[in-house]
Amino acid sequence: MKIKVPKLTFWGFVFWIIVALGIYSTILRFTKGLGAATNLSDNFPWGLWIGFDVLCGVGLAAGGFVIAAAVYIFNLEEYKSILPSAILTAFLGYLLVIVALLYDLGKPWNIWHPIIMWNPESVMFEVAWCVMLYTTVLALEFSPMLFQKLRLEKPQKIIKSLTIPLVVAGVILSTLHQSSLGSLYLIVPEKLHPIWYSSNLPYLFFLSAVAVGPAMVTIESYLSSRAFKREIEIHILAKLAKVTAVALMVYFVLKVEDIVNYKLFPHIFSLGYESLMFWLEFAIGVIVPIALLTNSKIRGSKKGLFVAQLITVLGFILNRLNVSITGLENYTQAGYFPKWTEISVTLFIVALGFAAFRLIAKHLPVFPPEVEERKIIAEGFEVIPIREVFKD
Amino acid sequence: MVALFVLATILICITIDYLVQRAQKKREVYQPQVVLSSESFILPRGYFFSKAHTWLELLFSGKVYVGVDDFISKVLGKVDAIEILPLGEKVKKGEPIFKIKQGARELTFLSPVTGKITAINPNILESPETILKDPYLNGWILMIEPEDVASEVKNLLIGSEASRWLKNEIKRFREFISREAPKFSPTLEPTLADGGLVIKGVLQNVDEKTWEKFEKEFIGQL
Repeated sequence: MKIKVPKLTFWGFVFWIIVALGIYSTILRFTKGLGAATNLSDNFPWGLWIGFDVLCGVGLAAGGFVIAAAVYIFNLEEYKSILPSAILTAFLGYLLVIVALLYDLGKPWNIWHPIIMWNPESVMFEVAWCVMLYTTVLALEFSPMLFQKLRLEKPQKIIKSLTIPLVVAGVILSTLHQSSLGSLYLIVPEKLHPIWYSSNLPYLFFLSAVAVGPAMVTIESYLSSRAFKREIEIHILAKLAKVTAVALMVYFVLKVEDIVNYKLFPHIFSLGYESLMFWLEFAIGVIVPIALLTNSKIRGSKKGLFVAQLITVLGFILNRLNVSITGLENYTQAGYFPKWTEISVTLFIVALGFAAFRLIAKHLPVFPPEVEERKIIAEGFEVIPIREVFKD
Repeated sequence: MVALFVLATILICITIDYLVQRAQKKREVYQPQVVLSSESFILPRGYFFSKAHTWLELLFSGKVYVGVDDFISKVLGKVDAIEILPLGEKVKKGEPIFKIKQGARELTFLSPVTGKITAINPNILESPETILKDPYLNGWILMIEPEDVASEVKNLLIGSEASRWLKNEIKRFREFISREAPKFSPTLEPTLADGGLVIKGVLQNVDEKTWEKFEKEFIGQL
């Protein structure tokens, strides 16, 4: 009997290398501890795993609540077709954030403590509860896709009847969570560089998450359309890009207010490492995306929109890493750079996210069935089905 | 530095992905341009085909869209203009209905049905090359309101029947080029004998006589 070996693509090959290295680093982390697997120290306890995996992961999962709010709260039905994939992205995003936390926590087996050991004074307490509750909400929002596949009608009906309360809970929890990650840095006023320290941090974190949510949905749609050979919903994504542009404009105003109120001019024009990083972040995360996304031609083009939203995402990542790492480097003088095992764990988590999305999208009804496109011609009322073509 | 490192990693991944995609695309585009086989022709399952290489899409109203099939678009390679009978004109099955021009030469196509021309694709007049890029969708040429749809469709081919016919046409075309090639291109003939490869747009290189023979043998009768 012949065994058919699937053809390994370039990215497939890279994926398995990352998995192999990731497994090695995981074993090292959980057998030898944080000291052996990371360059973290008491002086610099939060590195790549918190800066990228957690802070960026949560923000990049914001598409779920932004689209859910658009569909069910603002009644913008047209976004309904992209909601399941946005929910899936958010759900996987949050699950992977929890996985990353398990790596980063010194005693990961105590992760459940906030459930019974309450400390309502702590921002971390809010963060922990938001992650737990919102992941539960996302699991419930995601469950109809699984029930549909398993043909379980009753649970599907129950979840459907709970849709609105779930969405409302999801929006409230994500709003709290996105902003509380910003609040987390309010407790280190003397450590965080003044360029990034601001009482507006919770608002800035929330606004940038609202901006990056649609950007991530766009990138996910673009990549899925490529992987699954389906048509991209360009008209929906182009409209969604306006949400990014408006959120970034409000962000711009708040940041300028910060610069004026906190008298940051000497800092931002000092030509030091922090100021250069700030300008890079501000340019690619705010100014360039606003300039690109307010142009209707760029919004209407598949490539233009993808590039513009990709820049938004890169700017967002830079912002979170600046707040969590760059802004603390000067105070701590720890000279932190992640160990290769830290990097491989991060790549491992990202790769798992991609693989899980691909697997789920392949087997569950994440994307709406391809409806035969129809065009209406001027004469009469004929609706002409555009047929499926096949290669003979 | 960590922030720049992360950003650089993402940018490197995107660049590699872009290069991988570009290489893949090049391979995909390259193949159908060189190899002309029955596998590389697109044939919509739900379209009707006439034996003179025109397709028909039956509409909700009973009217039909008419265009040329992928075989014609592939072997032509280049189109300079399309001349269509005027709107409202009544045509009979088997009578000339439109001409495809390539330089000074032209191919006359026959109407696959009897009826009235109710629409002409304005885009095709402006950009006739659309029939090469997209022969079945945006490449529709005209719309006809047939006198009697029921009797017309009986003589047309669809689905597996159309597939068999097209494969046969491709074989016939290979034989045709093998037979005619030595008269206008001595280099083409050995290639045909070798692996049966025919370069896309082969009609661009044929002489007047072969062109006329092609018109007569492939699109001259329904």
